[in-house]
Amino acid sequence: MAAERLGLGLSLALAWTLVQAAPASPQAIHVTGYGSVEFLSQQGSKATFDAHNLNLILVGKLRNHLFAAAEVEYEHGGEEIALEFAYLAFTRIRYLNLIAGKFIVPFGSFNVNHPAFINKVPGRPFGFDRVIPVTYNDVGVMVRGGLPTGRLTRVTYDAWAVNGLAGDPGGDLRGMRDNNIDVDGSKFFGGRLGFVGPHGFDIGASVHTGVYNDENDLRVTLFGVDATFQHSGFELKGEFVQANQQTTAEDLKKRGFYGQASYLATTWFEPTVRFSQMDFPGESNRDLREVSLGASFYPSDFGALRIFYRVNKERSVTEVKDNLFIAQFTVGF
Amino acid sequence: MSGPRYCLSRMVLAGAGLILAGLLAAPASAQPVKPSGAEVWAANCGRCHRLRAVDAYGASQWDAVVAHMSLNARMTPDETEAVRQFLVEGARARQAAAPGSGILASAPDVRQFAFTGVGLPLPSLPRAVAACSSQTGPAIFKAQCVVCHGAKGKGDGPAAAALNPRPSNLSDAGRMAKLSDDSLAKVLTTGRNAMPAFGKILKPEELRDVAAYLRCLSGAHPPAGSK
Repeated sequence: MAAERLGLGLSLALAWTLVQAAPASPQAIHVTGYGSVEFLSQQGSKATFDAHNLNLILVGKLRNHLFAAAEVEYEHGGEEIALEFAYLAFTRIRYLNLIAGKFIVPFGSFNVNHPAFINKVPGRPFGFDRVIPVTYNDVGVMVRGGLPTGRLTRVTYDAWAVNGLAGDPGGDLRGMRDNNIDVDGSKFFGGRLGFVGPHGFDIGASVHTGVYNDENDLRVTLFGVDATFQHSGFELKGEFVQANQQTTAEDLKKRGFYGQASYLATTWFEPTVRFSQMDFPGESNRDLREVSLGASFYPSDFGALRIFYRVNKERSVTEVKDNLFIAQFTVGF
Repeated sequence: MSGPRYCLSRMVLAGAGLILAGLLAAPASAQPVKPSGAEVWAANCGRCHRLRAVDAYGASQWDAVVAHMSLNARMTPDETEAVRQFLVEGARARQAAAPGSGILASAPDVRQFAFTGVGLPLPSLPRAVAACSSQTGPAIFKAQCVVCHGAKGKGDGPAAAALNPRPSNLSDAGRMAKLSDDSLAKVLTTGRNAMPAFGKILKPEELRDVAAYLRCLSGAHPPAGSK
């Protein structure tokens, strides 16, 4: 009932904003996007090229306070074609932007900043595919914005109501996405509260919760904290996420963490190292660690060549030789 | 829905409602001293990705991109407007000054545009240098230029590391002495590399003052008689 009331209220607000939108100014529409091509050589597997993605993003300022954006993914040589997001945004209310449609859920940092031309280490950290199922997008409504707290500093917030995850009891969270038409009728609610300060300091805490099974009696709640610090070419960033998942038996606690350090030594060279770890209770073969070491080379402001070696370690079972060499060329345009 | 879960949903809804109420009640006057568009650009746009050159897009493209990115970065309305002015209006000025536009076709025209605007007499830069003690030039330099060129103009500002080519060293007396008034006026007005066209961001008298301050930074003036 509360979800229906919230939806009704937000729908009325959307309608009011649209009606009150300023007279049409010249529309500003732009096609942007990103793409990446990789060469992968992993122990125990055959080396391969991968046309990982070429994703086109349409952004349009339709009226002064009405904005639309959509991203279409073409991934792995055409094996995957999907709609990453498609939403309308209303920016008429000062300090409050209203978004409706399908959007990337801004839980934490990595889920939003996953594109290859942004993510300085190729591939996902452990825990950021199965604890928080990156890339996690969902259908619903969201409010977000920033409140000034000083010169170039602000408190940021996001609050959303979405269709949420849906699946079998105890199932893998990654397989619970794409609930575009809510099959269980139970909405998920969440938010992120953050602070943006000087020197690239950005810290936030996130939560996302709802019931996920058809019987509407099992809840999953995700908690996360993320932080970034940048100064004089140095960047340190880290993120922790935990999923508390109720099952018909014992509850599951799944955790993931990564820490990353990089240094922009010149305008074209940036060595980077990343450590990540994932803990799955009762499934020790998923307790994994990763160390990735390599560098990015920047031929321009919109392209990067990344050369990395990723060491994957099993923590409590027999070691599997699956280390990975990856060369990735990526552009954001 | 069981009791505790129902309560949790209610708490989330109540929290969201409180945040919304606070936001709607927030006075516009809560905004502290406004930073310049250049500062906002350098402080925010390089957080997640490399700084895109200001001439990478045209005005309407920047308009859409800024709208998109300001949402993702959760920028405040004033920050969004500042960076929009910096990138969109800068791009418009650059387009207006492009060859074939019929505007600012020659160096003297550029100097006229940059330093006098409409109806003002054309001053010589050496005369403007006499205004080294002026408050305006340093204030504009701090707001618009320090982010890339650094506090002393050495090309070592916070955004410099992400820029290729690096910002110029404005304190290099030898280099600045070779830069004629006309060339300085043209660069300021129409921009170059990652530097935006300040012709429409700043007023003519502001351009004059900041140009004078640039001469003060290096203490170097062009040869007598050069324009």
